[in-house]
Amino acid sequence: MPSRKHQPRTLRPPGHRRSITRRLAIILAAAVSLPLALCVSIGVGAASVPMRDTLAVLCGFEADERLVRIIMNIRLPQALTATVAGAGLAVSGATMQGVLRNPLASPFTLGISNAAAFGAALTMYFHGMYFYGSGVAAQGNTLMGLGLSRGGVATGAFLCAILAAFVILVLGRLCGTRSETIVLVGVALSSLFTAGLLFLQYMADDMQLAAIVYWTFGDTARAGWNSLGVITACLVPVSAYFWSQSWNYNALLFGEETAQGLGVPVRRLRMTTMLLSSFLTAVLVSLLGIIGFIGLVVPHVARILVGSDNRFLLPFSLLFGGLLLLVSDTFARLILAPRLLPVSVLTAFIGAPVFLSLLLGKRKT
Amino acid sequence: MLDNVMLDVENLAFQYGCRSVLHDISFRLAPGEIVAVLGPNGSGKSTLLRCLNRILRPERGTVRLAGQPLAAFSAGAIARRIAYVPQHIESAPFSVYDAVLLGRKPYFTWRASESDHRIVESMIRRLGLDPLVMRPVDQLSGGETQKVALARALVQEPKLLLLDEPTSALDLKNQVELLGMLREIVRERNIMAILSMHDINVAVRYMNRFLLLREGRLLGDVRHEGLVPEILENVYDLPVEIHTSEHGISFIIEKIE
Repeated sequence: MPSRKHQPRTLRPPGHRRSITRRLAIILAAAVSLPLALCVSIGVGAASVPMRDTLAVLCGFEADERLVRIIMNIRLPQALTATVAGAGLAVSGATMQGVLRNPLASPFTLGISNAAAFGAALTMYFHGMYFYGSGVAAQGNTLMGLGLSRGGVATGAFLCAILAAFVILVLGRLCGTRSETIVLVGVALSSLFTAGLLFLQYMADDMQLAAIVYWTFGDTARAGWNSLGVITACLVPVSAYFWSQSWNYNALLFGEETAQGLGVPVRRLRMTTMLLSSFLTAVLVSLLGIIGFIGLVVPHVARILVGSDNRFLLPFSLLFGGLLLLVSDTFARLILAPRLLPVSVLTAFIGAPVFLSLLLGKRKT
Repeated sequence: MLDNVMLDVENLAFQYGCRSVLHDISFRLAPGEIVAVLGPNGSGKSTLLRCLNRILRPERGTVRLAGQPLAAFSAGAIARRIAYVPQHIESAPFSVYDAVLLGRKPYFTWRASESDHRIVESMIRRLGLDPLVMRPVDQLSGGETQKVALARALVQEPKLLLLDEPTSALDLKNQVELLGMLREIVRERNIMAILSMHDINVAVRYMNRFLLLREGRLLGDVRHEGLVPEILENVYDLPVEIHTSEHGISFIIEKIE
């Protein structure tokens, strides 16, 4: 019997196992950082809460009634919302870029966010005659309208976003099945909705205008436990589906025909993925407003860190998107304290230069 | 069992919109055969390969593999029987190893088994890709990328291999090596291969059968002795003559008046 030493070396090259371990370690690091960041985020703000008390409240121990209220009613839902929203936007962006094979695809660039904003504005314009938007909006009780609830605006935004997604997919299909077409249709629709939004802003009275403009600032403070529940209930199954399709997305990276040759139902996969990621984005944007750049930038950074293999890319984008929006949200609360800056302003400010530096860095290599 | 596997194409027709691309193509293939599809640009070579793989649904006609119509198979089942390498290969930032491993995807749902890895490993070695094994595919040369795509198709362990101009990016040495190896693998595994090719002289050296296409019609289904100047002139619309070297290798050149 030949000893093990003399058996021919089978199985993967050593570098292969190492590269998998490395990627798993990066994902693990993100997974560990997330709860830490959550605790820090909950602790800081107008009223600072010591870490020990934060942990005590989170674990359900006895604590100061005031602290419990701050944490359970304001800080915790906002921090969790930022996390799940960032995760959702990032994973939508990653899968859209994957199936459309276009690095510019994201919920924002495809016009789904703009459609939601238009839908929200339309609802406010036709219904929200007594709208009130104010500077203290970020406290979470902004959209106090007579005759129109926050839910109503969210519904209008959601319907419009979903409609836009359908139009993009149907037109994309009519104009040809190429993925570039879908991106171009998205860009065209995006500017159409922007024009519609501008028109409504022009026609609106002062109150409505303030409400419309305020709505478009994506803000995690808007969400309470209910919204958080809705977002989470959408995020979990959609992400699970995306992750289960990782190998198919991987095959698609080598071209449509190669993927088809490997048995991937390319058209069906693209349709389902686009619909689900549009749906997820629509839910997020209609509840929170427009938060740009996370969906575009996070997948790119994630690709640099863990590579393009979707088995690793998707979970990492999810964690990293959550982490990034949580950190941004925390900074946004602190940066102009005692004023609270909506997180979307910060993500746009940071996102653009980060994105440009990534592009330039890529060109150098 | 394996010997019964056979490809049977009957009255295949395809059109893009209202433009007919393939008319009434019929032929049969036995295991161990390696066939070149020859014809001028736009004669329907690539479309024929795509129809055989059901990437394109033929308008009319049937394709049977081992007696069963392809339309009855699921996409995954087709991928376990037919492997296809398109003409334009796109590369992604995956290591050569992972890119080839993708060829085993039709056989596993989430985790590749030990035997999948073994198959991938030995194919990488056989095609001489082992020095590149952890290099990202998008940093390889055109020829190397083509080899990776071929390795991926071969680890699918297909009964039928469809290669759309598999040697277009290869230099002479690589062409000779690769086609030689391909012929060997086809014989050894008793499978079938259909290659669309532009270089008729390379085809003549490595293939034992030729499908001649022009404007979507099958003008000839011939073996070496059937490749006569008349039929080639008909296909390419160019007067040609055939020379045979002292080693018995024939080559075809344009006829100079």
